Amino acid sequence: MIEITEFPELAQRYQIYGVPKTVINDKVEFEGAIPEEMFVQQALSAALEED
Amino acid sequence: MPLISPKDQQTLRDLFAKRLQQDVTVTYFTQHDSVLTVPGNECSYCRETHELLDDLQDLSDKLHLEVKDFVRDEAEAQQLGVTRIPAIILSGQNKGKVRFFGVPAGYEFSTLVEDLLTVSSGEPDLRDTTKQALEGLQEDLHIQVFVTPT
Repeated sequence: MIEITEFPELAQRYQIYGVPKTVINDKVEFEGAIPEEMFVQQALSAALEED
Repeated sequence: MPLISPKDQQTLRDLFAKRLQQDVTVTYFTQHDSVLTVPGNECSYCRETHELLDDLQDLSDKLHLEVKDFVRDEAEAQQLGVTRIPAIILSGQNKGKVRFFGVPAGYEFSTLVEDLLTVSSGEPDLRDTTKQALEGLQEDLHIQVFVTPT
């Protein structure tokens, strides 16, 4: 968890215009709360991109 | 004045008594209080975060607060992936690292409390299908969730 108003350089780096914003392995990102199954899919796709 | 109201303190004390299973260590990285600060390097919420964690620790024997200095304890900070302060790391029965950067205020205070409970049991509140899907994962995932304090 990162409280973005305290670290504006991260807001800029990850282009955060709305919260919550989730970034996985610096590769996959999405805004807002999403259903658990979709979160898992995003996490797995981030892992696959690593290879 | 405590940051957590007496009523909330009692609620949390009851919740922790009922649901904290094993001990949890809360490692807090901060900076020394100093009359001199380097411009651009001030830690705006370090003091408040420290007070909040102190208050929280008093609410259960299972919570242990360890306070570290971001500069002096640099090696440990590096090892735990602490790149900025205030930083809070929760260690208990969890396999991964749980880190908070910035003051856990507003809604994020409930996130901290929930995470303390999860880390104390090592049993995340996830569906079986989710656990199965993640079981085959070979590599580490770095998940960052950016929030604001409202």
